[in-house]
Amino acid sequence: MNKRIIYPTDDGVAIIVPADCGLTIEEIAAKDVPVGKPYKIVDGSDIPTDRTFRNAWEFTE
Amino acid sequence: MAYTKYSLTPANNTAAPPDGAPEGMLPSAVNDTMRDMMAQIRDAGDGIRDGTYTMTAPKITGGTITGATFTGNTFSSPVISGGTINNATIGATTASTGAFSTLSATGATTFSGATVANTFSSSGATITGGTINSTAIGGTTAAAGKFTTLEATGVTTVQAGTAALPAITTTGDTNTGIFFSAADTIDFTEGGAAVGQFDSSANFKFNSGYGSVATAYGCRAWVNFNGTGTVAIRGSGNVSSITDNGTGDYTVNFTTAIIDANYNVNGALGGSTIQAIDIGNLSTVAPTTTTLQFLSRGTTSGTPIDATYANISIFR
Repeated sequence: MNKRIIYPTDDGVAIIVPADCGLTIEEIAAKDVPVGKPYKIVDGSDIPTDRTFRNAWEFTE
Repeated sequence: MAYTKYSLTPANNTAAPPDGAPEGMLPSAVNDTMRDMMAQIRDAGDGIRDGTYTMTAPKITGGTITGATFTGNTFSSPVISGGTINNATIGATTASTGAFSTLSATGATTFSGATVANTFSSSGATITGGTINSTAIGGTTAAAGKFTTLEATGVTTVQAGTAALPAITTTGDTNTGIFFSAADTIDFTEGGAAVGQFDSSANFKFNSGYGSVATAYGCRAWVNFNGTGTVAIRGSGNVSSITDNGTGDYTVNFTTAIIDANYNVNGALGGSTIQAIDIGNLSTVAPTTTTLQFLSRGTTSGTPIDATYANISIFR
């Protein structure tokens, strides 16, 4: 599953990496995104691989 | 039968001789009438003896019929209160309805198209074909025997058994199998020695080098992931996802919640420097039944750093 779920945090953005657990990406989002948080499902390739400034990443709608 | 020409009322037999004996009949007719009566008696007797005489409503209220053969007759409701039925076929293409208090056979007994109800007792019955439906097999003493295929749509009950003689075993290795040492308990035995058990509290116990049968505490969730570059999970169990919260900051999300948050966490981290797992400290939160957040800290700097190999396992 090469999808990712992103949602904003107080410090920046959190990225959920799904496991091969039998749940769909939507089911995982419903379960693992904190209640009330907006989120987006994106391709894994959309996530930067250079994590030098990981804590400076921001969530954009 | 000509004798029926006679009346049962003597005074009515007044036909002309030789069929009757009217008042004033000529003496010369007396011998003719007597000869006719003799012939009629002989005819009736021969008819009964030879079976050519049909009795429309015979009444036998006593006595004994000895040496008689009844052929081709139908007895609609006979009562046989004694004696023996020999060389007789009971039943036909249409099974008769009836009940025997006791039915004994010293030879082979064949039930064709029959239903055997209630209790059927035999010291050595062999059923070589057909189907047994809706039948309870067994009793206080289990019978020995083999079925090619045995299927039960209801509950199948076996004896409790022991480690030496398990209740469920296999041919030729009867000291290996399953037995039931106590209520709500399932036991496993090999070579006559107990090697595993599900006890009445649903604990699974086994001897896998422990030296005795002891409770095994299972890993309830595990994950191995790469926290650098393109964060990706290499393998997992009971983990729905991991959350990349920031540099060296991860959350493991469980597919099925752990029973409580008092579980044991084992972590091994590897990367460009020596790293240590940090649970419930600084920016992380205390473990919950559904998530575990942890930091990957450099052991020298103490600051969070990404882990190339992040291995987490949960025991409870």
